[in-house]
Amino acid sequence: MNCLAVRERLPEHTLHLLEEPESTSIDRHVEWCAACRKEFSDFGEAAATIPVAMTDRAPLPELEGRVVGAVRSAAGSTRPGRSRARMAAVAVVAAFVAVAALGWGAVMAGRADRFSARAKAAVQQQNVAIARFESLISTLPGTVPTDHPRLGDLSPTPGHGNVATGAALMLTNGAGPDYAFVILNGVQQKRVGDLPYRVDLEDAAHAGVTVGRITGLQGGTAQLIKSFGRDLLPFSRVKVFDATGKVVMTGTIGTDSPGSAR
Amino acid sequence: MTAQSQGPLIAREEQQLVEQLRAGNEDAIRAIYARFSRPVFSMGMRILGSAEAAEELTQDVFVMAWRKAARFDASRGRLSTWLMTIAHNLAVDRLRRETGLSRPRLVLVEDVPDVAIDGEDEPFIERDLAVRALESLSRNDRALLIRAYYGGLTAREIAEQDSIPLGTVKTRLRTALIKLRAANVEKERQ
Repeated sequence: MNCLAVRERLPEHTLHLLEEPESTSIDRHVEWCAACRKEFSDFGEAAATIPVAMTDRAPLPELEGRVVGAVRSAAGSTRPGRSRARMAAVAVVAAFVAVAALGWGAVMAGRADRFSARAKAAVQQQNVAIARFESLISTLPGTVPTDHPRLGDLSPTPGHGNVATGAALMLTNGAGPDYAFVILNGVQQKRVGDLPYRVDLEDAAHAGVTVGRITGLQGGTAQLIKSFGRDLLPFSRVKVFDATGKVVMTGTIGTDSPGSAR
Repeated sequence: MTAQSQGPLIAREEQQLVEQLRAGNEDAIRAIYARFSRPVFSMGMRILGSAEAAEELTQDVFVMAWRKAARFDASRGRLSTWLMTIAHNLAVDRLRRETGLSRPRLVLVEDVPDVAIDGEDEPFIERDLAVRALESLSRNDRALLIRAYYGGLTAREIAEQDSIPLGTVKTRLRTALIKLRAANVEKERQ
């Protein structure tokens, strides 16, 4: 669903009038589209005025004690926020970022030469990236799937030079949306003219779905994350296309991810 | 002075309050309850139609707020907006679940109440601001929004009921929300 279609539906979505799957499609869109998210937020604020203005009843005084008791009971039994599944997903992503930041070879070298300046710098970079991904994951709706975390690194296609290093991660399960993460590191400034990059996933029959487009870089780094309403298990190949449609990086996502939390 | 009489909180205060709620702090729970239990309960009465259901909704909203507290970000929206969105979602979901209807059917449309609530000793400033914002809309726009919000009528259903083009209803809904948002901002500045 594009911005035009989403915005046409935002007023009714704000008022909880839309049905599935339309409603979920819009939620997914506003999750990633800042402009639509802003409008949705503004509409939400406007809609919230209605019940506040139309307050004309007060509950019985004894309800307060029940509510306080219910919240305190919930707070005493569990800690909110980070469920085991979410923490597991964060750990998976941490492993993923470590690979993406360094490349497999560098990770192995880092183990052997853990006190080198390079390893220290990489760890620092990795920690920043982990915090970013952790923050990103904490905003994902619902339970983050960890049933089948799959990881793979991306390599430049022969003949296209040393474009970048990168990696891709898929978090899939049978119940909720699946997630695909792609990160590129060390994209050289001279490659900026090749943007936008398009990142696709491909299945064995070469049928593809697009994860997203990379239109800009921050310090030579770019990241994509997308939730899919479809099962990503059949997809095991990642392709990065430049603006002219040439495949500049490829990778294979394994059946299991090294360093996964499981 | 009661918590209701102190006017809207600033963003930093709202963030602190929700962080305390997350920690299960009783004072924070009571402070949020004092401010927002009435609009939530009133919404429950309108959509669910009974005091018992409205009380359950109120309790569910506060427990849900505790569960989602980590996601609240005062820089992205007001506490009242966040809580009312949770409440409306829960109320509509409950009605759909219990009635088997895809959308709420209860239509309890009244004009904006201008009388003091029973047991309300002091004015609830946040409500006064909201009332003024809602009253800044034309009567037709206000009725349209209320029919959709409490009655669960889609743009298409309103168009059919009122024999007006669907596009007109969609535009009016959008415009009404934009006007209401602008009125909110304006009233808060005053």
